[in-house]
Amino acid sequence: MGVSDQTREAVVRGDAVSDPTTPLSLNEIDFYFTRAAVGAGAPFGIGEDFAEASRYLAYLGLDPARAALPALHGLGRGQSGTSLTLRTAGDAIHVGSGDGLVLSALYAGPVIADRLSIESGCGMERRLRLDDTDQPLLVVGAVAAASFDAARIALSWPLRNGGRAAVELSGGIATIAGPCAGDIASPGSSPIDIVLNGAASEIAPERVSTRSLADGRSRAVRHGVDVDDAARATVLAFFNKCLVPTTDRSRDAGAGAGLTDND
Amino acid sequence: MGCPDEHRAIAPLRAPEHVMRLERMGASFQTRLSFMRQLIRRMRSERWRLERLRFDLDAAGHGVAVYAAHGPQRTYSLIAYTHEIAPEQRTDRVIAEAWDATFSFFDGVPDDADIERLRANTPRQESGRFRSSELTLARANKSMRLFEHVVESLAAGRQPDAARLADVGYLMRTTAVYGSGKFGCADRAKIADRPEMRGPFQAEMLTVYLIRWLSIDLVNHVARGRGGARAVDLDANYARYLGIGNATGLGMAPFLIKHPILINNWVLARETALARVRALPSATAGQIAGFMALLGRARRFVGEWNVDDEAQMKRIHGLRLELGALESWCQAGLHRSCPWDAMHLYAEQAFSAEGQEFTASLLLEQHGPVVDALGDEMSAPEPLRLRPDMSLGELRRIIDTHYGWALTTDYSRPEAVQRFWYYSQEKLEPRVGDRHSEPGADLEMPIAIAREVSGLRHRLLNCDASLEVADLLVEAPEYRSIVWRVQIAPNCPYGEIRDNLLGAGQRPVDILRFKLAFFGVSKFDPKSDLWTRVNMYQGAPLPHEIADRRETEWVFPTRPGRLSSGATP
Repeated sequence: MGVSDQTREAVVRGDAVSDPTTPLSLNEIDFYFTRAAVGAGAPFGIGEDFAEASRYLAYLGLDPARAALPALHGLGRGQSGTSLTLRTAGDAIHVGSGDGLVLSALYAGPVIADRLSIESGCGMERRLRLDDTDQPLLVVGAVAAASFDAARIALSWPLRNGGRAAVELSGGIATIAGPCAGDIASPGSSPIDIVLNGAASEIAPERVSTRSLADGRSRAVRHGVDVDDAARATVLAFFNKCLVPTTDRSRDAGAGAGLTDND
Repeated sequence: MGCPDEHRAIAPLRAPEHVMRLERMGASFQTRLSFMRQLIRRMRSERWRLERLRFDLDAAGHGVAVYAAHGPQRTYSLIAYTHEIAPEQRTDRVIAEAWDATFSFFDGVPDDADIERLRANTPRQESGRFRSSELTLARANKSMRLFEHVVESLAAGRQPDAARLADVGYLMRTTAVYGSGKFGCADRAKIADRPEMRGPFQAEMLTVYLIRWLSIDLVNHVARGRGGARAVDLDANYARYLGIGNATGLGMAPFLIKHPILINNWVLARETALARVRALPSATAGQIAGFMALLGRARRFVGEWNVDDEAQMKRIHGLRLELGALESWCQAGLHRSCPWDAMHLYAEQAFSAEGQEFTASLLLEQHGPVVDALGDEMSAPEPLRLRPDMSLGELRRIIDTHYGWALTTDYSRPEAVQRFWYYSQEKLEPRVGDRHSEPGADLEMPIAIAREVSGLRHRLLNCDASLEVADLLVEAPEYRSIVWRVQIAPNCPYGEIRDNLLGAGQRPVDILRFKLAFFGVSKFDPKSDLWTRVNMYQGAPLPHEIADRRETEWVFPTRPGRLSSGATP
């Protein structure tokens, strides 16, 4: 099953907020998103982290299916790189591409979360910079999933319209600033700046929305996670790449039970 | 056989390398910690009230019915849709498209709008779409060889042949019970904090219990429709003896692999219970008499367990002999100090794996006061996160300490990786293929824990032991999943199946039996190495008996020898 450009463009448009949606359970996000990543070419463990990051984006009120598309397409088409380099210079850590491609957020997210987990124990201010990454939001999801209760972590990246998206995570609360929800889910790679244990951000209050991860999770458990139908179809198209086509032999001998059971 | 410390609180736990082998897992039996046993105990102690809210079925038994289970704080409802299907549509496989009955298990009491919404979805099963108000989705088919016989008998005013009841043991057979967020149903997290749902699979177990009720109501209803005034209802003793069947295939195996913490907690609870019983210093005359009565019932139960599978039947014959030997041993053995430990050691020395596990089940059965509370410890908390700061040297030590069983296989040998497990495009049916002659191995499920650990250990050979896991995973992200698994191993000694699941000759049905035993099923009836039929709730109290606090346990039911008073023979 192919994944069309048309579908991709339709679902990542920032203004597509009124498109039909379907509520997914968190278990479905785990099951389908993990394997969608595998369908795009990632190993299973990376897929699991991708699904978890996607769940945390849902807790933040963002559509995880729409957010997933740039990263899945980038990986599936070989446009995003999976080889990462990590260099430390003074107080700063730089994560770059080892193959000259845009960084795949599926791979960069877990690497950043691991590094922040290690660095957060020091209680010091640390700065990290990622080179161009295909979907900065997934890095936000990966960091949120790592749950550093004691640390303040600020992530920011430039938007295409000249603005800047910023997300600050502290104590289970996310402060999100961006011109609009559409922009924050827009396609296009960006470098990402991350500050661990830095000073509180100075984003103008009128541009900020504050969300509790716990409340978001509770909402998702009670009602499911609304995802755009077209984006969901694309995620499922990647998922389907993990399935083995059936044959007469596999149908007859590969599973339990007979083909009819009237006894 | 001495008892070194009369007051010791616990005996040694059986070792994971003993318990978590496929051969041993494939000899598992239910215990009083099993999930359906826990559910029935809770419903009885809390005096749940079970109620049939709706029964709109035509004379042939097709329509909708709703059953409610009222607990102390909440009500749960089973919504059943019964259908007419052609015989050629009736299959136990995942790939089935039609069933005699389909079910949604509802959180609360459904209103008419819910029932109509689900009428358009529940019969479609995997193709339907559900909400967080639905906790499970299930389906069942009639056992045609028994259902028709019972209908004919009741319609003619007589009870069915007890021998035929015993031969099958159920009127309907479930072929799937989906929970935990499948197809839009509620996530486990929605109910995990509720006391009545905290234990594993309690929603699924209650679903199945209510389906059993429907199957009995259904056979009575159809018999009345056919026989009119002549018809009689199924005698209560016969109805109680009937369970609900289940056909289980490969889908259960990936679940066990994916949840090592949960599986560890199941087995740890069972093994702790066994150790506690073994540590008891003596047995009173009443306890001895109670055990002998239990053993006698168990012997009759096993005597009535007959299957077509030659290998399993041979094991059953062996078990019958072993239980006879156990009865002889008890004459003197139960009067010594630490009698239960002595019994365990005797079984370990003299019995097959099947006999040993059955003896363990008996030992737990007799000692509810020291066993039952462990049921509260069989759930799993949120999974631990990967520890990126662990040194590679520590990671290597964990592998060497806990995964020696995985490192002895040469995975370059074709027979060591003969099988691969996968999801088929056909309704995601889980299947097993031959890696060397079938396509699709590149899409296999990640269940090859032994091979993956071996690969990680090999990778670590040339790594600087002082580096951190995070460093490794930047270079080699493909190890991310298996690194996490290795890291939790020291705290989850029973979390791994200690065999190579890819190897030629492995029997997936062993994994299924292990899980089904924890559910509480009986009468394992393997149909191949890939699937089995079983019986659930056979002998369990009927709905109207739940709240009357009579006999509290119902294990090892035997064929009813007589009808309840007043019934028509």
